[in-house]
Amino acid sequence: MRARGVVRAVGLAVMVASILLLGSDQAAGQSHMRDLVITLGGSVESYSGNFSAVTVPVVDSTDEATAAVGEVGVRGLLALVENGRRAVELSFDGGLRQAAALGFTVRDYAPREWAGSATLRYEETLGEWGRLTSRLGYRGRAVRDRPPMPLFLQPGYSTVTGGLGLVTRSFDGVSFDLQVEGEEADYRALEFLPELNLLDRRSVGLQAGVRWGMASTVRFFSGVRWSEYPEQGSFDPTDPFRRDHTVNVGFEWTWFGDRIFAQAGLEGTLNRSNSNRPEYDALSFQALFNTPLPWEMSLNVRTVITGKSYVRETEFPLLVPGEEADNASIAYLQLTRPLAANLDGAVRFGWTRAETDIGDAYYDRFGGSVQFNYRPSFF
Amino acid sequence: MTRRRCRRRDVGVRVVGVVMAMGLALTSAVAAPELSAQATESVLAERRLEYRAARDAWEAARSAFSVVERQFSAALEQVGRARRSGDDDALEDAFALAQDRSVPYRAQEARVEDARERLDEARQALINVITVRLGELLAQLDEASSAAERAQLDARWQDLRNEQQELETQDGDDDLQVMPVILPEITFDPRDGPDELEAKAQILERLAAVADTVVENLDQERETLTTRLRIERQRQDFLAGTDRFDDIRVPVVTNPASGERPAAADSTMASRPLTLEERLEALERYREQLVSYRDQLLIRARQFRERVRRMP
Repeated sequence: MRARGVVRAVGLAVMVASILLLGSDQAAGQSHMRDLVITLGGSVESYSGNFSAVTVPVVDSTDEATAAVGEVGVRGLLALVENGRRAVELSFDGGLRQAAALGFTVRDYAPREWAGSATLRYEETLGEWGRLTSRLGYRGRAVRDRPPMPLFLQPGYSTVTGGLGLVTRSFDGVSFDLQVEGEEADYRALEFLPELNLLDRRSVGLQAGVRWGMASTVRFFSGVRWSEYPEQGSFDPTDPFRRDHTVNVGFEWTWFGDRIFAQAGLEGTLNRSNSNRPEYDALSFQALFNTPLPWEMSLNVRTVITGKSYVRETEFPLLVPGEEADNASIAYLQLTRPLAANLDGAVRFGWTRAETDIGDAYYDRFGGSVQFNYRPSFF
Repeated sequence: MTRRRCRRRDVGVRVVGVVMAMGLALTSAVAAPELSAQATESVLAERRLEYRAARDAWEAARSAFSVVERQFSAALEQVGRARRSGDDDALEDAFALAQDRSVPYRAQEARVEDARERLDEARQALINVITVRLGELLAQLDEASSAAERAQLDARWQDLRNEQQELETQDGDDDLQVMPVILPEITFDPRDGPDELEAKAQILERLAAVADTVVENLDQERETLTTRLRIERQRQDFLAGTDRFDDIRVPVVTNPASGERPAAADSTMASRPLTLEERLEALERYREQLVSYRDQLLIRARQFRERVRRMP
């Protein structure tokens, strides 16, 4: 296990070093690093609740836990080709988070998370008609010593996504967009926890949108997504594996002022399946707000509130508890201020709550963290 | 950077010239003097043509530059007028016009510098051939059979020597230096008295003051863009911090759509919209150019005042 961690660390270091070398003008001609951020942070988190998750390997009788967390991360954007008509960019993000969790009955845990993602993006202007974008992305994470609930951590997985998008120029102030996307997700099931495989999926989606406005824009969108869960049964002998069809409709309002950025959106989801169990309707509200404050400070707020209602009443064993709650609310607030040249300091508060009708189970998390973001000046 | 490249190229031209001169000298040593003189005269004629062509190209580049410069200075004057009238919309339009016109200004400036480098090369090549021909003429003078022939050769030697001196003088001519044209209509006129020269200096200084206004405006714009970039980056840091370890994903929807939101379309799609970083870089380049132009205007104004002081 330790050897794998070392290999991962070396791999990450090699990847970052390669990207840094590629980013230097001498090595890569016109390619250059447009942004590079190194993050260090620490936080204190408290968790409570009786929410169960079938994909968590161990259980503990406690309803409350706390954790001291340290993290390090690096992310950047490497512009490989950049001219008036086209751009090729590689964005990457990776990090390590180590927690010391206390308050469990059986033992204390020290979960460690590795997370990394990379996306290659190509953008081309199609004359005066619009812009075409394509992207290929990978996202992966691994968790060691995953603790029991209520300290919920997403399990380890890897996803590969690919997409193609088109945004038209504005016709009388109105522009249109179309996106096609495919995704494959593979959850890393341990030998003694095959339930994680239930989350494996393949999906293809299509979304179309229409947008108008300049500083203040409104976008209406609608899409459809076909998903397959090859490890989940449908309880229908003639069509044994779960297949979902999801339709979503929503709108998003964005204000991009000189000083204030605000975004709010509402999205409705109808999920239908060949299995009765996961058919649901959901409504989600998302908001993002960003404004400068005195003393060079800035305020960032992010909120996601989702409510969900299952079409048919089902019994506990038929769901995938912990992965399918009835509602969830997330709120983050962050204050950021430059501390020195290329160094920002941030204080962040986060709150998450998820509930399910099954046994009135809930999950609550509250945390406060301090983060330092450093942008090296040699790029 | 350009000056250093110029000097490096000058050294290269000189080395080639010396090698060529040695070749010609060797030819003249082994060949019959008449044949050698004919060969050198032929090369000399060729170099003269090349030099004239390079000079014509340089003057054409200067003319084109002066047109663009006049348009640029007219745009700056428009900024001054809009500022005096207190019309904010007109001032914004004038700032935009000045920035638009600064792009061809920069391209023409590069063209003039390039033509100037080619002219230097052609001049040096001509000087080298003249040096060889002067040596040949000296040898022919020693071997002249009559006084009339000697006088003819001497006159030819004198003409070539004058031509060489003139070319060498042009090498250090201020008029050919980096910024060859600053408002060609405002030139030194021998008939100008102190009042006229003072008036011309004031025109240049007024234009420099307008350029200063534009620089101030650019500084404000740079500050705004820098603040926006800082806030934008802080927002991206915030989003990255909540997304990196999946803290924003909760156990509600098992398959959340991960499609990226398409960026807003531009009304004119002929080119990719500039990022904030690119806008800042473009603004920096424009500012540097404007500061350089303002400095040239002030130098020119100082030169006019110098002339006034030197007047009896």
